Amino acid sequence: MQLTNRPPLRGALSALTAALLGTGAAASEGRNRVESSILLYSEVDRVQAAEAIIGLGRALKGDRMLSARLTLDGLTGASPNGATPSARVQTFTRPSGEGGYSVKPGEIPLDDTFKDTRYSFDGSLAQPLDRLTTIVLGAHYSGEHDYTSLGASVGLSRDLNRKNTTLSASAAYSRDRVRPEGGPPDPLSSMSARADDDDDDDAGERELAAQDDDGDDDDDEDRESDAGEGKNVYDVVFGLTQVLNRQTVLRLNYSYNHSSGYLNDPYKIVSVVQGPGGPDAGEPVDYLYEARPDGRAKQAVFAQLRRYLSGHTIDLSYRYFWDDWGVTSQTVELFYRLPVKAGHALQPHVRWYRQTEADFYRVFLVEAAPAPAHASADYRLAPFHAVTAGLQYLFPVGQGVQVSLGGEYYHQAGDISPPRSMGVLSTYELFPDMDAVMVRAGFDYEF
Amino acid sequence: MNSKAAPECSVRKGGSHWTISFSAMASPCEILIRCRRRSEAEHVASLAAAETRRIERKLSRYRDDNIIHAINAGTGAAVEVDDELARLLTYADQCYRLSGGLFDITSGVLRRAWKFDGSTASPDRDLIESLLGRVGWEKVEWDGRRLRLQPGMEIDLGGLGKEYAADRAADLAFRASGAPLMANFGGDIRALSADPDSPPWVVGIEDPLREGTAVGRIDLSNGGVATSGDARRFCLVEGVRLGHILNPRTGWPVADAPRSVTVLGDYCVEAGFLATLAMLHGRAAEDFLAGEKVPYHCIR
Repeated sequence: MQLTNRPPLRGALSALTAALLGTGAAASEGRNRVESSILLYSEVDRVQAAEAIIGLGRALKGDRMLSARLTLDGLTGASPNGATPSARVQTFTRPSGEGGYSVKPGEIPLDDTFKDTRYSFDGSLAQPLDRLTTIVLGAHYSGEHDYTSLGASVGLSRDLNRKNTTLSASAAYSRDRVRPEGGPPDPLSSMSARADDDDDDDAGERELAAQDDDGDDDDDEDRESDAGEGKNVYDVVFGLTQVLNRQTVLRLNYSYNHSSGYLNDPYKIVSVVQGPGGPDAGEPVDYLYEARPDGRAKQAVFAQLRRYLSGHTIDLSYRYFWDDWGVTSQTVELFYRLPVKAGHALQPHVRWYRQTEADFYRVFLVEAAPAPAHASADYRLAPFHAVTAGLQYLFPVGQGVQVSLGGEYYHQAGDISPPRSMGVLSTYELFPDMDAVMVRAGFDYEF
Repeated sequence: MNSKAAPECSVRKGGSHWTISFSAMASPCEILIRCRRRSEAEHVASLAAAETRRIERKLSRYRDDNIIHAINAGTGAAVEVDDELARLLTYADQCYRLSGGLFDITSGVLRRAWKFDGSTASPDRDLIESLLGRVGWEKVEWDGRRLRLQPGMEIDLGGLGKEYAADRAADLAFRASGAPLMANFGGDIRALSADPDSPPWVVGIEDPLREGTAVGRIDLSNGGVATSGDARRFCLVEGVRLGHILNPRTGWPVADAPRSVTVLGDYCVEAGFLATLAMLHGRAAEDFLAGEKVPYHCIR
């Protein structure tokens, strides 16, 4: 038998061996897996959330894997609406005209009518195409009272180099629809709001008239309120996982996400304040609904190094994100898994995050100044940094049952007093620090 | 300490794992498993021992009550086989092709011409010649369901059976427990683990000339290991030492074969095939394995 220039047998042999062993009649029955968790999230003075997840995994004949997951979220509490604080009481209405709320002088306006329940369903099927290649098909649907999202995805992964290298690529599409109460507001249109009369505030009686006096706009809103506004989201991710040695695994990926359509948050507004020359410099004269561009391209690169050392695991990752709105962000995260005793492990982690603002981020707009094409005061588009620290304890209870209990603390800080602030605004915290705690209990069962 | 799990099957606690021992396929069979409870280990023990003995009963050529006996009966009739044996025969068929005819499950009859007890042999060339007429997978009819041998031919899945049993028992045990484990059936080894934190099993490679002396080690969490060669089984022909691996083309033991070849693969059957085929390459065993890009140990 010629040995020179002989192609290795291994490729063909591996497939043959998999065929021999992979479909054994007695061994083909699947293992079922249930994963469930409950999470409570609480921001100090702001949003409170509870989330329950139940997931089911089932191995099917031919090494196929079927997964389904149901998530329920309940959200209540207060979220910044984007407006600046004022020396007076500020009263806001929701787009529907119902559910107004007032904000005390000097406080950052929070919309406390915020209440929502979201449910989502995710399903996927992983199917090996051959011993080294797997295809994953997925679908998802989520709904809340004013928002729905329907999507599908396809992913391929291939093992190379004796499974020391895995290449993956995936693509996803989703179609979202937002139907805010009262219809989506026109970008940069005025919110009907007024600075309320208040016992403590004799000086501050002032009406902020709704400027939405255009009949055509009303017709538009009526029409839009039926259909809502849509958004198309495309996603692609390319990944590489490389086993560097027996203890070390490196994972790299690049993602590109493009969304187009209605990208505004219909509940966010921007204050229009009196210019620096006026007697009430910095006081709001109007509130405009935010206006974001109708397209956004996001990109991110991610690197993760994971090292196992006699039961201990250390996991360090870095992510760099940028988009065409001018936002860039960096995330550094560190996990450590410390085995305590048989099956028990303690897992501390810490995450550090910093982002720059979007080009059209405005803490406020100035009266009579030229109106920008786009403006948003959403704190999520502001420059800020955040630190998260958490601890998780994992332990088995009985055969196939794994329990995890954990907590996390989050601290977010931005520019309390941005350089552009003026008048009365320079006396307020325009981006107060935010703290949140999260507790989570998980329960996984294999049978 | 005998367990209640199965007769002639013991479960002992050893360090961080349980050791399941039983005897089957003419070898000591052992499964090391890192699970919490004795009851889990005993459950695994009973499943694995039952599966191994099932495979032994089915594939043994020393029984007269199984399908192998029916095939080897020499009537020249086509025998229909079940799914499992069909997969094994198809595998053997493909291995025959991949190896250019060197791996041949019909070659067992050639052993009648040889005695590998370390003595000086004077091989009967006429006998070898006549036995060669009864060897050759190309002479059988195999359509994926029915097998027909020429009269006088026999198949022997011994070169595949123990590896297959190790893979199957490990797989079954892993599906039942989810725990990191290693099945070691007389040196035919398969390990499975879903836990990346679980430390690997350390497999020593024995010096074939000095029993109990390790000359190498393999750290194994997932994959198969098999060894071909037995330093004690050889004969001397005109002063030349010949190992017990027979070339089905010539009927003679392979010259200049390593004393033992150990291969690490994804599965035990795969490692076993590569180890046997490396032996059949004789002097070129190392070149062959290097070409396959598998981790291996050759001892000469």
